[in-house]
Amino acid sequence: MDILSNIGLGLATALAPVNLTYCLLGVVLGTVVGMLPGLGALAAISMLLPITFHVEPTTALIMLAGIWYGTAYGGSIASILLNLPGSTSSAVACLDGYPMAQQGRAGVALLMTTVASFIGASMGIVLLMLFAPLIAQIGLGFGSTEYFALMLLGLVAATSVSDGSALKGLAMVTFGIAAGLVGMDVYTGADRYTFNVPEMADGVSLVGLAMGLFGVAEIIASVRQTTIAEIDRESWSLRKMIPTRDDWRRSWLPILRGSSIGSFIGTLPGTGPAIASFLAYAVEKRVAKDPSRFGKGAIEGVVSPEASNNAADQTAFIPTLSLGIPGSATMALILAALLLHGITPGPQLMTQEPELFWGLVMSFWVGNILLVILNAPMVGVWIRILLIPYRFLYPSILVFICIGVYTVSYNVFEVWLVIIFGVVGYLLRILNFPIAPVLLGFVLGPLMEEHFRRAMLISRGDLMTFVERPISGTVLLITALLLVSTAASALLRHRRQRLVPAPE
Amino acid sequence: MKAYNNLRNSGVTRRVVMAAAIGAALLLGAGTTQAQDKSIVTLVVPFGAGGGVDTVMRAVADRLTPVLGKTVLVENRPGGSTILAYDHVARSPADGTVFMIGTPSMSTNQAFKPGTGPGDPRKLLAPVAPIAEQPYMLIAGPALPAEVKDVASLLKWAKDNPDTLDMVNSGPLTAPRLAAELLAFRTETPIVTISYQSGTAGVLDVAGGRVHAGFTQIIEAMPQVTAGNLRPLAVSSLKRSPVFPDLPTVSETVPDFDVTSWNGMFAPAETPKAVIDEMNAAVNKVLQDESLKEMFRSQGTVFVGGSPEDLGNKLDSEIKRWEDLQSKVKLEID
Repeated sequence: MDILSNIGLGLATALAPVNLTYCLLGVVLGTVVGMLPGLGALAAISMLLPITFHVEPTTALIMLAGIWYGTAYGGSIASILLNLPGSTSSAVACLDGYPMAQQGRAGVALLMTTVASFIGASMGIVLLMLFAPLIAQIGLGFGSTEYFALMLLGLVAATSVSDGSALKGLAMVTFGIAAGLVGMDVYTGADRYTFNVPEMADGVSLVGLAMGLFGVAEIIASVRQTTIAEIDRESWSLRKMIPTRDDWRRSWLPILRGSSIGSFIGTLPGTGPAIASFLAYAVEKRVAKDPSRFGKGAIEGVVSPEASNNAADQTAFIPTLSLGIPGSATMALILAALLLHGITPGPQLMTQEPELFWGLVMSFWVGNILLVILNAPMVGVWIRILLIPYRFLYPSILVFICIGVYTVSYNVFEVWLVIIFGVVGYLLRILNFPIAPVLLGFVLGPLMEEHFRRAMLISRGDLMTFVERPISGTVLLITALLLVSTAASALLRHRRQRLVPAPE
Repeated sequence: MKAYNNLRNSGVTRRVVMAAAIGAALLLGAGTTQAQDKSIVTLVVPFGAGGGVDTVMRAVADRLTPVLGKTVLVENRPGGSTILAYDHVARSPADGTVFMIGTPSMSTNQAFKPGTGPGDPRKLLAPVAPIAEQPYMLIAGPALPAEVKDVASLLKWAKDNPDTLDMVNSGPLTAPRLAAELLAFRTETPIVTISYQSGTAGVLDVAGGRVHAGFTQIIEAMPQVTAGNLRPLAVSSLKRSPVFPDLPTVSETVPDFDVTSWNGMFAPAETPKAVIDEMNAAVNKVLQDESLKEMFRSQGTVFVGGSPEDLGNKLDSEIKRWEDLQSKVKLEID
């Protein structure tokens, strides 16, 4: 069969010593960069791009790609252990991963994340191997109307992300949207919420926002504690690091769901791994029997988003390679690397450059296996980070945060933003406001606005465009059904509660 | 590819050292301390590392170093539609240690948002040398019927179907947006311009048949042009592109239409004339390098070169053209 010979060709390329070396280099670098707060794949790849001019394009691409998906593995480590999103797509892992670590289950969280990441990535790679050209065509069919419908579905599905006071949740979504709208208006070029600060014209970075609200707020909060709880050595026994049968039972479906969501979202050029992990989290919380466990260390809330962002990392190569349309700034750099080597991505890439395409795809397998081999035994080492006394650990983290956010745009202003968000995050925490909805509003809000306005511009203000176009019409129908079913089940519950007299 | 082969032979260690040096320079942001050292020249690029302009300028900087006998370092200061870089250079010492790469944003910012940034670049910067120019490609997608195959037929279609033609661009105050507005104004054709966060997002909508046409970077459109999903109608420069000699220009239909993505080198306003002339000579020498031309040929980049006055006139005429357009069509900016 044709695919078998392609796989053979790909493996031969991926396992060539030079490619294997660069692949290892890429994934190790990716893990490190992902783990360091703020320093993401974008900064790492832009720094390493010049070196790749001096090696074969396939080798170059294998290394750059290794950095890209390696960061997803590394990013969750900092999120889980320190409540610091190592990379944008790992911000979600803070929500339940950090509570798990606080309960002494950091080892479980890290190990399960590695497994989930591998499964997610594998599903993404299989899709990439079998259906890349077909999926690329689907991606081409997604315009603003479809994206808006999809985001709306995501938002409706995610209404359960916050629990507790609905008013506080709503306030936080609004705060997130407001923060996301900072910067130049996409259509008119008008400055919004920039206070005439030119640095603000590009908006607030998700890394800065998440690091401030989670990591810095956490550090500020720790200062107030006069006595820091002595870490219980007992709880660090190896036995507690190994996932229990219950953990596996709870995890396998969320991992599969996360992988599917991520694989799909990754193929759409207008989205990315961050959105993929968010939607996976929202879906998990919605389908959970007991949503109140989320945010308090539910393993489903860690594995599903991590499977999702790794799957999306892999399928993000589909629009980049087969359409020549990168879904993110990082992918644009990878595309630039190809173009500089005189290779034009596009539907003809698979047939014209089979060695490059299949070599790259098979290197994904190799790289992911390397990552598992690297990460699984390291779990024991990573969790020892938590044993470092806070007075040493936290100052060094702050240093890394400052360096990390500085590299976002090589501007000190970013550092100030993180500090401001850190203080805001701390205040919100004291007042018992949920933080997750801020990220939700920040990520989805501005995208929804952009796509809604664009769809309206193209349809000349005709709202029917959302219903008339088949994909968006279908998605909106699902959204409506979801709303109706939520309302109905809430109503039923309400009735039942009224029928049964409240116990004394 | 020859250039790469030669470089590839240069050994692993040099590669690693180079990478480390580049990495360190990026991390530390170069800047303040280097401005004191006269043997180092900082070239500020208003975009992030790894982007199109950055890659070209790194190649130019590499070749400038031996010609000048000074180390030319590229410093990335992205953000604020190039205003952050401009603001930094305008306030840098005018002693020949700091230069910057100007782009069309310099003229569009001044014409459409004169209040933001440090002020008029014609007063705060001194032109040094024009470097490169890239025409934009006017592309049409499957939303347009097959009979639209050049600028004239596009305009005819737009007049036959009033208030229908949509054109993508890479941002509200970018040259591709303004090129479409200029085309609409000059030919009295109603065109709705639709902005995106990036050029490729717009290309996707044209290739997907949701938007009719648009001006895009050649490099962004080429994958879909090669795949047959897009057809190029024209290039936006005054003269035809040497890379696509068969592709007509917009100006062949709309006389004097000339909107390009240009890059030129500027210095702080008070920089001595001798320093500027020395740099100008070095830049013009470097631009003769065949390997440089070859490296960026596929992107449609043409290395122009010229005198400081050429660049000054270019900036001045662009600002005046956009101010004139704005006074007549009054684009909604806030």
